[in-house]
Amino acid sequence: MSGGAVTSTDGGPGAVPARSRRPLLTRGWGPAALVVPFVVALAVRDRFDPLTADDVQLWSTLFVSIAVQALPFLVLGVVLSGMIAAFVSPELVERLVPRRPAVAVPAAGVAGLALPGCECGSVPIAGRLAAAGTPPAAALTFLLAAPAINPVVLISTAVAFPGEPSLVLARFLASFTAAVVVGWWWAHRRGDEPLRVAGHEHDAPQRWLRFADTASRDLVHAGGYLVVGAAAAASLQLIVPRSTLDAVAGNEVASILVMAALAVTLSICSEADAFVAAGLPQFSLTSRLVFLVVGPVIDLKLIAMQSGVFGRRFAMVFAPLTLVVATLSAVVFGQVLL
Amino acid sequence: MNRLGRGAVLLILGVVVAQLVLDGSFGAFVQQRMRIPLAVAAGTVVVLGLVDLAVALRERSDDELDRPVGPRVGWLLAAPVLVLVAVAPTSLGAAAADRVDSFEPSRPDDLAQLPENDPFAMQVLDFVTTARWDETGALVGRRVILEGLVVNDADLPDGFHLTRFLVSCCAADGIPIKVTVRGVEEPFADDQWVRAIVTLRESSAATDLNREVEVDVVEIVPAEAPASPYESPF
Repeated sequence: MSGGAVTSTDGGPGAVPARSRRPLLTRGWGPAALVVPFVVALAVRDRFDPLTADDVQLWSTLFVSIAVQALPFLVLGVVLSGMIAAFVSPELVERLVPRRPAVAVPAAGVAGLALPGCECGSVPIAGRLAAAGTPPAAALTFLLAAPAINPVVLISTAVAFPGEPSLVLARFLASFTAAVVVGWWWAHRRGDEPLRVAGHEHDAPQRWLRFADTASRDLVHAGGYLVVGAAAAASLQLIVPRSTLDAVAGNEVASILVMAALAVTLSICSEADAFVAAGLPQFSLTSRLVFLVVGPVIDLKLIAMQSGVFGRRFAMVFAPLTLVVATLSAVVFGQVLL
Repeated sequence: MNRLGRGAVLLILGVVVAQLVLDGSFGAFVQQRMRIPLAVAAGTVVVLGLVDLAVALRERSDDELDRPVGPRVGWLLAAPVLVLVAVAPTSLGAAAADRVDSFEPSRPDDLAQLPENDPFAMQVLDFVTTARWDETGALVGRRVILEGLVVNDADLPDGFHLTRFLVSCCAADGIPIKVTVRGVEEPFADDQWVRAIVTLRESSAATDLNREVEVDVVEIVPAEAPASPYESPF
């Protein structure tokens, strides 16, 4: 999509870094993105009355409110992950994680608590850790724990469910347990079989530019999926007949399965998913806990990213394993704590 | 998306959210306490967008310009902007009031002491909670000022449901709190904000907890929508 039908204008191999800049207006979609949405939106608003119809209005209110509520937390998360990318070296993180798997796995889980960032940010960090010699099982535990239990995620969960402090605790414990169980299982079954890791670099020369670049990259990535999730939650409220929604929500097993499936398909960033869950008040707290525990560790976006960084065969084993462990962990802690 | 596209999307997103904060219309979507976090977030997004645009304008070759610096899904961040401008969504109203079951207060630990002055104003949330659970019946017959919006009901020819939404986090989790107002002579349109002096007919604690909270109207006037359209349980 970006810069669709563009051919390079400079000459053959070794051409001088060309000064042949195209005029601003033909550089891909950027300038259009600044102007076109406003023109289209204003034209639509003036021409068509149906857009003021009740359901369109209500859908828009629900959709925009989830996106707006989540934005500050998303921005906080990407600013912190940008700081880490720019100012904390992978060597430092690696030094903090012990080598013996039995200890390294829970230690990596705790490291996840200290490093805020979306799941999209933790995939490359886990890749860098594994490449730097951390036991694979510990790198994987970090991969699962960091997006699920970091402080930004826990704060946004507390804000989204102000009357349910036990939900924050349950989310923390269920996610941590799932991450450590998967890590130990991996250490036990796969031992030190190394992970194949593909590179991923942020290549801006100055630190502050690297910071801004990482933050912006994570923001458009996570923000795009947040928009998908907000649209899905708003649509569920309005398009699915209320009787169907109530029937599913009234059955605990069905609502757990539906919420786990939603978590996997919607691929919402962990810093924003609590607000989407809060927007589905028909569902029980335990089924929404399943949504919050499953989403950060396994969804379509993560499967794609993990296949890219660690290989397709790895993802084929790791994804279903994680889904089952995370769902069970959430159900157990939900029963005990909620 | 290339750098110019990423910068453009971030800039319009930041500007539109900043506008929501400046004109106060963010109150239709989230609670007032989000004002400062939203302002900071909007400012940060604007700066990130400007940095991208500045870097993109200095990039030397077409290759550099076309290099992807974000996934395609990032273009969707323009969607909330489109929706905000095209639809101009409003706060929750009558259309939302029948989507979810009305709020049913659970038994509170203690009920607030009613003020002496007459009439006195109450949050709709407190009014309904007291009407349901106060076994002393102290609220019955007192003149109370309530503010809310009109949700008409075909089964209620002489009244409407005075409705306020209870929002814990953002508008998407809004639950309607309803008081059934009787004895209204001139009907109001759906979604009209009103300020009414009403008297509670009976305390449900003494009779039937499943009955609607019914009040008789003493006086009712149309009102401007308040800055915070929602009530919060916290």
